[in-house]
Amino acid sequence: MSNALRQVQVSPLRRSLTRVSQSVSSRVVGKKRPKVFYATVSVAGTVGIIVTQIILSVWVSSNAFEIDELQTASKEVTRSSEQVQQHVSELSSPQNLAQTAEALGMVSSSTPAYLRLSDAQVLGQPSVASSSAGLVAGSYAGLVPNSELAKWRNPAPLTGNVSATSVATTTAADASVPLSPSAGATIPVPQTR
Amino acid sequence: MTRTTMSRRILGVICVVGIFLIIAIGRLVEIQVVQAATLNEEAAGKMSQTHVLFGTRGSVTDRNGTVLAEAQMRYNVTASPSQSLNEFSRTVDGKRVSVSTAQAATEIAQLVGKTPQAVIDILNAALTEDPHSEYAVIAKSVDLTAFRALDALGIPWLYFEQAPSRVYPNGAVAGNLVGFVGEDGQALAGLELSNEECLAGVNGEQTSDRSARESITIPGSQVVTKPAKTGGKLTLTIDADVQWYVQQVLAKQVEDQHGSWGMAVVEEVKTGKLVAVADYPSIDPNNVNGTSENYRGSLAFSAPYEPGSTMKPLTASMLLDQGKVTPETHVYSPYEITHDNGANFHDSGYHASNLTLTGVLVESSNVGISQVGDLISADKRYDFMTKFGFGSTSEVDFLGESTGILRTPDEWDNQTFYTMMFGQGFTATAIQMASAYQALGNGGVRLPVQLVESCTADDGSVSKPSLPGPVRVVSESAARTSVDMMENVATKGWLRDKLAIGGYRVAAKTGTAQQADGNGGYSDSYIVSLEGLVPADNPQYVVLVTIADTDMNTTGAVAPVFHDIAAHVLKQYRVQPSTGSAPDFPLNY
Repeated sequence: MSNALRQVQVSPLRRSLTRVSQSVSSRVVGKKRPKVFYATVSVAGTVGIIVTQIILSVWVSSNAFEIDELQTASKEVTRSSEQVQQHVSELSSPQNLAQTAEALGMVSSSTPAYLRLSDAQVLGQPSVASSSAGLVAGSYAGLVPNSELAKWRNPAPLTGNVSATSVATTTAADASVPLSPSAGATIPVPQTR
Repeated sequence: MTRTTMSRRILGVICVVGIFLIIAIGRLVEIQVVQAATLNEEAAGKMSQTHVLFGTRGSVTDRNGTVLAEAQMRYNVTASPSQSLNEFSRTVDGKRVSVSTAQAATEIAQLVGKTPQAVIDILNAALTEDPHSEYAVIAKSVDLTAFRALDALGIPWLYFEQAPSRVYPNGAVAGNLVGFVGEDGQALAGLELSNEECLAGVNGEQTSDRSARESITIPGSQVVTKPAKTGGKLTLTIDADVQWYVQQVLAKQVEDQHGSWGMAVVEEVKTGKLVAVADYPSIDPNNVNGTSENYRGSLAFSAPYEPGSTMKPLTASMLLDQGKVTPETHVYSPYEITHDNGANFHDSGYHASNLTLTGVLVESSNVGISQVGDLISADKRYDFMTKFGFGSTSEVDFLGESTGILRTPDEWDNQTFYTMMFGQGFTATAIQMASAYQALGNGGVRLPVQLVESCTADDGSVSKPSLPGPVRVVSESAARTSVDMMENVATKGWLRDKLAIGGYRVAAKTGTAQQADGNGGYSDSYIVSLEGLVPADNPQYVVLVTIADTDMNTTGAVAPVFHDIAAHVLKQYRVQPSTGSAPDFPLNY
C-alpha cells in the first residue's frame, strides 16, 4: 500500500522534468509493482466470492431442510387443529345437544312467560314443563340422522402416537368436569339475601 | 515433398477439421434450437414438480352462521401391491420388529372399516391383473383421524392422495334443502347444485423444484402458475336450531302415526323468509345412499298435493275483498248439495245447516263455502289464485320445484268450478300454501318467498338474490278479517284444546284432502294438514304441517305438531305474548 502511494506522488514530478527519456523507465518501475498487487487483489477477490457463494448456498440449502421440517410440523399442527374443530362442530350439532340435554334430565320448556319490569306485569301464561316432553328419547333419537356424529360416538379403534394423545386428553377432561349432577354429590344452593 | 503435396495435406487437414466443426455446430443447433423445448421440458420434469392448489368450495351456513355444509380434506388410501409382498420392519419399544403383509393388512382394515380379507383381496386382485402393479385403491375419502392413524403405522407401501370432500356437520338438519356433492366434488342436488356459481372453487397449480434424494423443496423455486380460487359462502334464511326441532317433531309424529311422509314449513310473515322447511323422510347428505331416491330432495318444494280445506280462508278473503260477504253472512249449509250445473258433493261430517261464514270455516263445510264462492266469477278467482302464488314456482326457484297444477277457468269442469273453492281440483306445494297464508298475515300483501339470504364471495363482496317486489292480493281489511275468522277456528273448532298456546292467540285452518288413487278417482286415505298464523293479533310466522296416510286419518294427527312448532318458534324468537282476546263471531244464525 505504501509503495503505491509513493509511486503516485513521484511520477508527476518525473514526468515534468524529463518527459521523453524518463518516461520509459518510469513505466517499467510503475508497472511491475501494480501487477503483483492487482493479481493478489483479483485472486483474493475471486476466492472470496467463491467462498462466500459456497457458504451462502450451504446456508440456504441447510435452511431448506429446516423450512421443510417446520412446514411439516406446521402441517401437523394444522391437522390437529382441524381434527378438533371437526369434532367440536359435530358435537355442537342440535342432535347431539338435544340428546345430551335429555340424558342429563332436561326437558324443553312449554310456553314461556315474560315479566315486564316497568309495571311488574306477567305476560303470557307460565306453565310447568312436563317431564314427558322428551323429544329424542329411545327410538326417536335417530329420526334426524347425522352419520358424522355417529362416527364420533363410536370412534374407529385408534393406533399410533397422535391418537394416544387425544384419547388421554379426553379422559382427563372427562374426569375433571362431572357431567351429571349424580356424578358429583349435590348442586350447591345459591346464597340469596 | 513438393509444395503441392504439402498444401494438399494442409487442405486435407482443414477439410477434416472443417467437417468435424460442421458436425459439432449442427449438433449444437439441434440441441440448442431444434430440441430445446423438449429437452427443457424433460429436465424440468426430472427436477420440478407440479402440484394442485385446491380451490376450496365455499360453505353453506344458516342465518346465524351455523355451518350446514363445508369443505373438508379427506384422503384416498392407496397401496403398491407389488411392494406389499415384502415384509418390512419397524421399531416398537426400541426393538426392530418385522411386520408381515397380513398383519399390516389387519392394521389397515381396522382403520378403514373393512375386513382384513377385503384389504388382501384388493391387493391380490391388482396383482392378478398385473404382477408388477404399483397402484391399488384401498379406501376412498377417509377422514383426518383415520389418515393420521394410518400414516402413523409407517407401512412403506401405503400411500395417500388428497381428496377434497364435503361434510355436513349437522347431518340431516336441512339436508333436504342443502343437497349433496358427489365423490368427485361435483354438486348433485339441492342448493349445492343450484348455487354452484356462488360455491364452486377453482383449483390452481404450483410448480417447485425438489432435491433428488430427500424430495425437499428448493427455496425460491416455488411458482404459482395458476392461482386457486376459493368459493363463496352461501347464507340461508333457515335457522338450523328451529329446522332441527321442526324436523324432529314432524318425524316423531309421522312415525307414531305410521304416516307415509310429512312436511312442515315455517315462514316469516313480515319478510317472506323461510325459517324451516322440513320433510320426512329426509336425507342425511353425509350418507346419501341411506335414503331412498324419492326423498333426497324437498317434498315441500317438489311434491304438490290437493291442499283441501286450508284453501277455504283464501276463498273467504277473495269474497271479503270483493265486498260480497262478512264474517256473519248467513250461509245455508246442508250436509249435501247438488248445484244447478250438476256439481254434487257433501261435507265430511254432519253439522247444523244454519251457519255464518265463520261457522262455515269452523265446521269446514264444503257445501257452505260453495254457496258463497260463486258470488265472484271464475276468472276473478283464477286471478286471485295466481296472485296468491298458485300455478307458478315460488321465487326460491328450488331445484326441481313444482308449479302445481292450476288450470285456466275455461278448463274447469262443473265439479271443479266448485271444488276449487275448498282446495280440490288443483294442486299446490307446501311452499305455495305457506306463501298464500303469508299474504293473509301480512295485510293482504304477498312477499317473494326467500330461502337464500346472500352469497359472500371470497373477496368479501356480498350479493343478494334478485327478488320481485311485493304483490297486493287482497285488501288489508279482507286479510285481517280472514285471520280473525281463522282465530275462531282455533278457539271454537274441534281441535281447540290441541291448538291453544298459553299466552298467545292462534289463527289456524285444518285441511283433510283426498288423495288421487292414480286411477282418476280418490283413495280413502287422506293428506291431513294444519296451517295457521301466530300470534293471531300480529302475525309473525306462518306454520304449516302436512302428513299423509296417518292412523287417525284426521287433522287430529297434525294438530299437536302444529302446536309444538308454533310454540317453539314463539319461544325461540321471544315473541311478545298476545294482548286482547280473540274476536268472537257467531257461528250460527
